[in-house]
Amino acid sequence: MQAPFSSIVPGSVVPPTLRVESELHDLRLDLRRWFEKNDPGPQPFEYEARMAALTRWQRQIHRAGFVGLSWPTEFGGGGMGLAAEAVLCQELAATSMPQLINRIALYTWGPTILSRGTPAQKARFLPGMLDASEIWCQGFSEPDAGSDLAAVRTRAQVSGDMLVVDGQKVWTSRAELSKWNALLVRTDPEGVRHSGLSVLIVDMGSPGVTVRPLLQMLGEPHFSEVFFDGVEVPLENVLGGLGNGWDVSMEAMAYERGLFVLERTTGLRRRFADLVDRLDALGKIEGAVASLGVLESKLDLLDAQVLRTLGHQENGTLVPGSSSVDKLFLADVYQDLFATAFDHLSDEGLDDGWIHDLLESRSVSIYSGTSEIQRNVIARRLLGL
Amino acid sequence: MGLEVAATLDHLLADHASTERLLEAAASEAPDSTLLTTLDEAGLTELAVPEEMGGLGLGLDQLCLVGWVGGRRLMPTLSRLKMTLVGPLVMDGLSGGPSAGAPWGCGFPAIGSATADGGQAEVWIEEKASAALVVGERSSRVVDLGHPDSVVEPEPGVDPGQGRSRLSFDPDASTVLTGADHARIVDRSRVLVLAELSGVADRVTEVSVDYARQRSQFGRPLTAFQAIQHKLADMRAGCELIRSAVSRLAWLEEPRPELTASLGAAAVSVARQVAEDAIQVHGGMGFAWEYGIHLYYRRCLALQQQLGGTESLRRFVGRSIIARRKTQ
Repeated sequence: MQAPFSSIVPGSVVPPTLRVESELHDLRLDLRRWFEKNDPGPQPFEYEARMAALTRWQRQIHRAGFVGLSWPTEFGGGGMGLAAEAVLCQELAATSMPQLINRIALYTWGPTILSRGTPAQKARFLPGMLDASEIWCQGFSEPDAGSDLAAVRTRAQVSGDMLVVDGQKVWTSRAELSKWNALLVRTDPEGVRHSGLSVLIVDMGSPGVTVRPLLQMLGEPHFSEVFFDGVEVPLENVLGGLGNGWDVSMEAMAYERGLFVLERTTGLRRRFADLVDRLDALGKIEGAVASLGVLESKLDLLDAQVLRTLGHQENGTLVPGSSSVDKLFLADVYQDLFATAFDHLSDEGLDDGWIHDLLESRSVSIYSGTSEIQRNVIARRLLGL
Repeated sequence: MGLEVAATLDHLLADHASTERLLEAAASEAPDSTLLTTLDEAGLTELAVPEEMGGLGLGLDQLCLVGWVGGRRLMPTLSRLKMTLVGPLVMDGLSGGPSAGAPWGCGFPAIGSATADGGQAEVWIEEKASAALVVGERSSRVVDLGHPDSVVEPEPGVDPGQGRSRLSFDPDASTVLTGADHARIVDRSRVLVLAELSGVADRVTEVSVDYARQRSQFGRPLTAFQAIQHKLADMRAGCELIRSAVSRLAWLEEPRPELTASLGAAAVSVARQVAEDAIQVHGGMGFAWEYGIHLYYRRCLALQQQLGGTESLRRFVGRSIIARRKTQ
């Protein structure tokens, strides 16, 4: 019998994940040195003080040149690849404030504007994202359009070179802090479902915008109802063209999966390290060793998933719908971590932070597409059902 | 190169490892020696051997593709062991014994407990094997199966027909292998278990989606029911996660055995859930012997055991967190 496995040429077959170990070693050292010197200490527990501290923190990191590492240099970015953002996320996670306040801008709408925006929009909106001088929120959900996003009823009518917006959004995170709102509206009243929608960039300081904070279950005004009553928005603030709102939104959501999930993952690693510290201090680490093993391996698996998604994003080979897997698993790991922490720390050692995080973890399987919606997306886009 | 090798393996397995043949093998005690010989003759044991030692020198990413195809087609366990362990370890340091392509017995180095010195080992043995390789973390032993102290007791376990056995032997009468590459070969053999799991999970998910499309109840295909759609979506999500684990390990510049262990611990649980869901989606057919869905489940469980068992893997990963803290 012949030997069919021999006499062939090399070539690689398993798609690469983003490699973060060896590349960018210098950047990692720079970041580590800078963070060690500038770490601002524990973030305030009280909500408003925490938001203010986080805003100062991003501004400071930006001044040091580390925000927007993957953005083009002409818009104030670092001109590097996504691996640089991944390294930033990982190093930031080791600090007392492991997140950037303007993450909605940096990870979702910045990339969307870079991809779909006009030159004027890029020049106007990108700089304020980087230095946190202009915080962003996004207006998607409505009282009657939650998971069923295409049912949005907030409308915008063209009037001269303006659009006039009327309607209501709900669950808008950080609306009270935001300068800009990426708002999904119906611009064609005849449009059905996914057609006739547009994304507008709305100044939250415009006359006719009313923000009414909603307390979420932690008692924090983390999100709001936002009312639009005859709000005028310049036509030049339409992102990606009138009537293209669904495509623009879906592109934005795809960006959100990559770096946003990575950022949440690195934040989780930080809390996991806190949990290990706490259990060690209480002398309970031996009894928790199997639980800790489960969490560590799930965190590693989540990392692997996100790095593969980022690798595909970098290569332009991301399969539509595949990043729903990242969101689905993020929610699983997130909730498992804090539930495990609660269970192991309940007798003693449970401080308000752990309770806060457990309660907050329930939002992860709801925000930006519930886990059920993610399963629908996987069934439709990946399985063709 | 990996693509062509994988395609060849796929064809060979399609011809020689149909569901009927797999079920026959599962019902018998001995592994399918015709199939094993066919794969040996095709050169499977040379794939992971470096070129300078006369092998094909496939990179880890390419080996993973081969392992993935093997998983899809439920390749004999011995073929994986011969590809990932017997080939590289024996070519690395044995003289006078059987060649890697001859019939062998071979163990698998479970994470956290792999030792070759105890005189007892779980091995997979093919017919006419004259030697068995007992693989430890840092060294391995070649056991002469003809030695009077070598005793083999079949223990088919959860995935029968693979030649799984309990081997008792006299360590002093065996040959010790300690190549410089030993640890790397051991780590790779574990990554290949994940690649195989990835193939098993992918295939059983595809089979389940196909079944749900063609099976009608209440006048609609099963895929019209959201309860089934969501189960299939979870299975597919699981497949993506396992693939990501393989991809991560395949592209590391240096082996990271702790990461292999950690991703392995996660992947075996995910794969097992996928196979369990596959049985559920198939309903009664999933439980039937002749339909063979249980073969995928059995393979997932067997691979989980080989890697170290879920509970001990978890503890191993947990302990390595503690150990890292102490050295920091």
